[in-house]
Amino acid sequence: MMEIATSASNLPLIAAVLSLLLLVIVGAIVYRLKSTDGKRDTFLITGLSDSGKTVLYYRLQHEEEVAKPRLVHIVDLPGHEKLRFRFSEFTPITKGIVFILDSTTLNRNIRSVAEYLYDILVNKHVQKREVPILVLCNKNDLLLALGKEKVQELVEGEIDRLRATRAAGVEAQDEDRNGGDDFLGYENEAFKFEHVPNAVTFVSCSLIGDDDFGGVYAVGEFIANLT
Amino acid sequence: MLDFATVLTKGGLVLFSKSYSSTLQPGVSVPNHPVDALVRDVLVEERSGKMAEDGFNKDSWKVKWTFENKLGLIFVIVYQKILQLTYIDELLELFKRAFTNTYGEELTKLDALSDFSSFEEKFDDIVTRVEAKDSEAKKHRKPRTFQETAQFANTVAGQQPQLPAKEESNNDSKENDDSTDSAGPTTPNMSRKLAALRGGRGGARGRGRGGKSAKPSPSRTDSEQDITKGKQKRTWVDGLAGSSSNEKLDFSDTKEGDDVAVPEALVGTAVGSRTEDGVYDALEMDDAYGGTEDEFADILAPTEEETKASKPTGVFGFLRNLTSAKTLTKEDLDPLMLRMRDHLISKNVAAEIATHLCGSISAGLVGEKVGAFTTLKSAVKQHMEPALKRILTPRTSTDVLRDIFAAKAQGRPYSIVFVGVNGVGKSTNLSKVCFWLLQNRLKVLIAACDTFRSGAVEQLRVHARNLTALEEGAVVDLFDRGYGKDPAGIAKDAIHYAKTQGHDVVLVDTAGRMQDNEPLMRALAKLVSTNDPDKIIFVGEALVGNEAVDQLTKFNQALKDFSGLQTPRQIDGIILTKFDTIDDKVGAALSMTYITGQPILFVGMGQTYTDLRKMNVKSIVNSLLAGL
Repeated sequence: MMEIATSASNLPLIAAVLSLLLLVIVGAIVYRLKSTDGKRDTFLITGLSDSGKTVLYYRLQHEEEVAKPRLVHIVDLPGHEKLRFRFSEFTPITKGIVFILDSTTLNRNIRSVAEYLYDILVNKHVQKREVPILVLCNKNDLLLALGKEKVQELVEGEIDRLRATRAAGVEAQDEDRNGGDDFLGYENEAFKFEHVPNAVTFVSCSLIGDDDFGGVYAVGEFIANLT
Repeated sequence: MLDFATVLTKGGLVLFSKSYSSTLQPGVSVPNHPVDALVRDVLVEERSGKMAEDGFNKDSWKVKWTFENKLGLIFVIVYQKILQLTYIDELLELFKRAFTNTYGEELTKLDALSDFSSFEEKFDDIVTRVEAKDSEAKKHRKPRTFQETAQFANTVAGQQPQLPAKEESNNDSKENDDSTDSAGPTTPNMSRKLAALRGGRGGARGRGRGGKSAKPSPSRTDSEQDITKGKQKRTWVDGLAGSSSNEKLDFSDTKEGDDVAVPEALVGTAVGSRTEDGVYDALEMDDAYGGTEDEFADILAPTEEETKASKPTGVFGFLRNLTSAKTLTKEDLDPLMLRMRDHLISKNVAAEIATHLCGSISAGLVGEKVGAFTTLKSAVKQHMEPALKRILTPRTSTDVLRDIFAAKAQGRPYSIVFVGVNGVGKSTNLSKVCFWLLQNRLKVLIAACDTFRSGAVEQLRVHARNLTALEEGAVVDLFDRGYGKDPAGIAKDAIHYAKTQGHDVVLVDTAGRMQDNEPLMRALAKLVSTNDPDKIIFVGEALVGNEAVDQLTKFNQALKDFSGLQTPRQIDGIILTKFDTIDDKVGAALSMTYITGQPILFVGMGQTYTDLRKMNVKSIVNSLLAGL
């Protein structure tokens, strides 16, 4: 009698153990699938509105001469302030980022440009994987365009000021976030792009002008080097 | 008469555009281009539900647009606002269908950039024909005869439109005897009026009551005949009943439903009948698209692919129907959208805004394909989440500190005015902001411009004293001129004082005021227009529901109306207070950002100086969609 009673009470216990085991195995498989790095073949085209993202996208897509190594995904992201946040949906699978800016209006837009670039740089996936960034200084065929050296200098200066105010901002709403974003660069030095682990390259180009500047080819090379 | 017409993909590629005005040439960048403004101010902000019908006004232009969600296209037409063009909707519809029919196949392919310039001819053709039709209709437009007016329906003669024959009326009264016994002592005249009032719904019954009277009334048999006539005419096409309204508009004898498969035959008869009788024009005016189907059939000739796709046959067809993507229709979405709307309202989103938002989402979903294994609900949710995120994400930088440093570099104090209704926490949150600024080593001056409520100045003085004591070396001063003075003047003096004393920031506290109190709103507009502060922050409590809309629109309106300036200031940012009290009913955040399009700079989460937070868009969206 006793034996029967114990075995009967063991039955649900065994079932529980078995189901727990199953759960662990399934969980492990799901985790493995999620953490695989193999799918990282996406390139993002980012930048403010009117900087030339879509032109680049379609030129990359349709021009034969541009070096196309193998199958990659290219995502043309909207530049509107309200839609920018969606770049973070792609960062876990991003191999490289192309950031386009309009070199003719940079003086006016420097704050937005720097903010966007800052947001990309502090993104945790971009930091962890040290995703390389290619900054295209577009519209260099126009008279008022700034050269890439000047652009870099301006953006660095602005990010330097920006990181100070970002660090001093009020906490975000949910408490469990510890301390917000990481500080970019070195604490007591003016910000330089060499200070971040990501490789940041600046290229002057003109996407709709003559091909002397070779913007699309630079991007093609950038992609080819990373795949 | 148009200014500009264009087709663009939702990805932003312009496929076709045609300009009729010198200012809107394609390829030339125009500041404030109406299409840019449409995308920026309407489509991205999810306001299309509200404006789709009456268009969007931009400067002197009016913009109308329509979506083709299956292919992800947007069709836009721009014309001068002062031209009251009535045919734009029709034109847009034709434009859309002609374009998708012509290029539908090419658009589904991704590998080649097609050249769509050949569409120009077709488009011109459509425009000239629609315009010709419109002017034709105008020519034939006559003032209504008295018989057609509503007034006529109330006259005695109007009650008996087609006076029936005597014997018919006899029949009628006999027939109606059973039903009208209970009609009671109402006079015939009275009952007729009642019937007229009741309108179309109770027409037949009302007349039936009058049947007892000596006077002949429009017979029931008459109406019965009407009904049988209607029934005889109903045709069943593919298991669907042609609705009666369709038949009324059916001018061709040979027409079979709306089937576009036989365009030639339709065109022939339709054109013939129109040229013969003159009634056609009058009928056509009542209906936007009724006549267009056959008239423009040559343009709208469907591509082969489309006709094939519409009729999957055999086993494979069945399988494909079972597993393939399904196209969403408005009917599918409506009940769900209603539920979504109720859900949002239950989360304290203002009712008006929930309606607009759902309308906009629904407009963006109609015609889209969803996979067989996606439920409708998850499809809607998938669209809703980014839309909510988009609305809540600020359009401009929320980095106030950065602005303050920029002002400091220019050697002037940065001024912030706090406005809002009574008791929402203006002074409390002002002191929280002040604490945060002090943490960043800025010198702050508080201007006590609430010269109305007793104790307001003392309250700020206590705050200033506390804040000075809290932080070593903190510089926070109070600028007050007592009670009953003009707040605009005090603010001006305060800013001047700050400049001479080297303060970095001036925080201006104003008296709380209800949005309907005109004298107080005038005073506020004066304060803003004389001082031109760097930021006008609206302080609102998270507890409000529908009231949020009213408060914000009226504050903005007052700032606009009473300022006397060419370019009046508007609210630049919002502080949402008492956020710790509302649990997951976070709708006010959505309502406020949707109305103003301005960011929520801070969220007040408690009573102490440190309880100021930056809003987290993700958690707000999660709260809004929780429990759906």
